[in-house]
Amino acid sequence: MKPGGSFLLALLSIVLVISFFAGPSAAQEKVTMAGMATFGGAYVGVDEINRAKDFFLNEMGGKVFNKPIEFIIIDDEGKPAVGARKVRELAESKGARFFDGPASSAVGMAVSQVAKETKSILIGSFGADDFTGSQCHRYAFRWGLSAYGAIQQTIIPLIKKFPAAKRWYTITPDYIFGHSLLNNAKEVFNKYGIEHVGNDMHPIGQTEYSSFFNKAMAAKADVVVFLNFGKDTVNSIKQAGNFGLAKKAKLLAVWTQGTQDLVEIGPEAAEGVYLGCQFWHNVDFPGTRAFVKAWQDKYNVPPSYPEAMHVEQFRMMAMGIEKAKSLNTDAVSKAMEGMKWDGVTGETSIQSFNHETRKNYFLLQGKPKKEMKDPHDMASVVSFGSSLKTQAESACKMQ
Amino acid sequence: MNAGLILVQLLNGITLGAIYVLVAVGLTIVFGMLNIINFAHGSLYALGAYFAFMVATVIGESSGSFWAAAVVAPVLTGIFGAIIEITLLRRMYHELHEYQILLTFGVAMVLQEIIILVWGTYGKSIPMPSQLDGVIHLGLFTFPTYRIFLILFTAVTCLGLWLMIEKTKYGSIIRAGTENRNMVSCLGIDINKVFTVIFALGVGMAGLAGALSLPMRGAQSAMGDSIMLLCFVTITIGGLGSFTGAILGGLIVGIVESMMALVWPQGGMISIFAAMALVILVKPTGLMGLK
Repeated sequence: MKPGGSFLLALLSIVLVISFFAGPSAAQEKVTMAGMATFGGAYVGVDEINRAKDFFLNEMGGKVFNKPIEFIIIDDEGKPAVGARKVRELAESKGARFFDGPASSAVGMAVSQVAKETKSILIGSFGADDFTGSQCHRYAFRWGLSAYGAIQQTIIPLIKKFPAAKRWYTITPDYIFGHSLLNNAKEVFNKYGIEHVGNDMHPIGQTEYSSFFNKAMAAKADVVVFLNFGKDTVNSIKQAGNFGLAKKAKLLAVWTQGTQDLVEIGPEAAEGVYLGCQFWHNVDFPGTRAFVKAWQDKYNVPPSYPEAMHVEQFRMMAMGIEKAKSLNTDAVSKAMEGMKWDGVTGETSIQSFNHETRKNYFLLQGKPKKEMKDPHDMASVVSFGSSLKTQAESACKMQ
Repeated sequence: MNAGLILVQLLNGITLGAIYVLVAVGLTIVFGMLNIINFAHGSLYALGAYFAFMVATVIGESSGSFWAAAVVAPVLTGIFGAIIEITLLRRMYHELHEYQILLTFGVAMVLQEIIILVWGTYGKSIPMPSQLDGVIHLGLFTFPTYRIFLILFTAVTCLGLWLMIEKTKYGSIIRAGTENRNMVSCLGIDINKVFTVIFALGVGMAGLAGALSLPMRGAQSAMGDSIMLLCFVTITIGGLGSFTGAILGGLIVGIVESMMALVWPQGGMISIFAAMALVILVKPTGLMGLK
C-alpha cells in the first residue's frame, strides 16, 4: 500500500472509531419529541403545529431537562395505519418517547396502542372517549376535554338557555369521533327530555350539506347540532347560512377550532351560531393572557385552538420531564399525574386515575360583524366550564 | 318524507349538478377536441376559486367584488391553462395517453402545493353577493337565491358555449382542427394557437365553476380532489367527448347525490359509482358517447 493510502486508511479508522463512540452519546443527549398532524384533507393542521413547535422551542430555549430537543413533525395523512406505522418507526429508530397526538380520533386510537407497546408518552386531544376510557393506559394523557365533556359544556347550557327548544336535529360524521359525540348527545337528550327528531351521518370530507338542512327543516327542528370538525364544520355552517337555516333554528357546532373556523366561515354566516371550543383567546385568565400576548408578539395574530393545544401539550411533556427529572416514561407518567398549572385555558390539572385534564371548555356565539372590535373578535363567550367523568363513571381501569 | 321535500331535494340536486356540469364540460372540451385526459382539471377548478378570492379581496367589500371575481378568475385560470399547454402539453400530443396522464397528474400535485404555498392551508371564503343573498320561499321550505342563479347561469353558459362551437366560424375551425390538424395547418391556420385556445377554454370553465362555488362552499386547497373524481364519473356516464353527455351526466350525478341524502346519506358516493357502473354495463360508451 502506498504511504498516502496508509495515512488515509488510518485517518478513516480514527473517524470511524470516534463516530462509534460519539454517535450513541450524541443520541443520549437529545430529547426527541414528535408532533402529529395531517398535512392535507379535512383535518389539515400542518401550519398550526409548525408554528406551535417554533413557539415552544423558542420558549424553552431549545432544551428540556438541560438536553437539546429534537422535534419531528410527522404527517399521519389522516390514516390510522400510517400514523401508527410512523410512530412505531420513530420510537424504534430514533428512540422517540414523547408524542403529541393527532387530530383524528381514528388515528389517535391506533397510535395509542403503539404508544402503549413502546412505552411512549402520548398526549392527545382527539374526541374519542375510549382514549382515556376503556382503552386508557399509563402512557396516554388527554389535554382537551373528551366528547363527553364537549357535549356537557355545549348542549346542556343551550338546553337551559332555550327551555322551549325541544326538537333537536344532529348531523354527524360517520366515524369514531362522530359516534362518540352522538352517543353522548343522546344521553343528554334522554336526561333532559329533548326530542331527537333526526340524525344524518356523513363521511369525512363531505362538501355538500344542503340535503340535510332540508330534512332538518322538514322535521321542524328547534336546534340543529353539528357534531363534525374541521373543514366539515366550516362547510356545514357556511351552507347553513346560505340556506337561512339560522333564521329557522338555533345552530350549534359542538367542536370547533375557534378563530380558525370562524375566519373561514365568515362573520355573516357565523353570526348567532353557537360554537364549542377547547380554547378561546379572549378570556381573562392569567395563563391565557400571557400565552396570547407572547403568541401575538411572535405571529401578530391571536392563537387558534389547534395552536394552543399543541403548545400546551408540548409544555405538558416538558413539565412532566422536568418534574420527574428523568426521561424514563414511567417516571414521567407518574410525575404528570396530579400536576397542576396555570394553563392556556385557566387553572389546569391532570386526574391520576384516567390521565384526563381538568380544563375549561368554552361555548361561544358568533358576533354580528358591526360588533367586532378587530378581525378576530368574532365571538362572545356564553359559558365555560369543565366536565369530566368521575372514577366511578369512567370506563378506565389504568394498567 | 313528503312531496315538498322530494321536490326541494331535486332542485338541490340540479344545483349540485350545475357545478359538475361546468367542470365536466370543460374537461369534455379538452378531451373531445384534444384527446387529452387532463388530470389537473380539478386543481384548476380549485385555482379558479382561489383566483376569485384574490380578486374579491383586492377589490374589497363592495357589491361588485363577486361579479368582478366571477369574470376575472376564469380568465386568469384560462391564461394559466394556456401557459401549461404551451410549455408542457404541446410536447405530449403525439405521446401515449399514459404519459399525458402522468404529466397532468404531476401538474395537479404541483398546483395543489402552489395553492398551499401562496394562500396557506386555511380555507378562504367570500360573502354571498348582496344581490343574490337570501332565500326564496317554497312553501314549507326555503331555497337559496344564489343556487337558483347558479342553475340559470350554467344553462346560459352551456348554451353560449355550444353556440360558439357549433355556429361560429372560430368554432368550425376548432372542430376542423380536432378532426384533421394537418389539413387545418395546410390551410394556413396556426393549429397550435387553436389548441391553446381550446385548452384555455376548457380550463377556464373549471375556473368559472370554482369561482361560482366560492361563496357557497368556500375554497380549500384539496377541493380539486373530490370534484375531479365526480367529474370523471360525470363524463363516463355522459360519454367521453360528448358535450351534451357532460351536461346530462352532471345532472344525473348531482340528482343521485342529493336524493340519496334523503334515504341513505352515507351511500351518496356508492350510489354515484353504482350509477356509473350501470351505465357502463348497459352502454359502455356512455349515454351520449360515441367513442
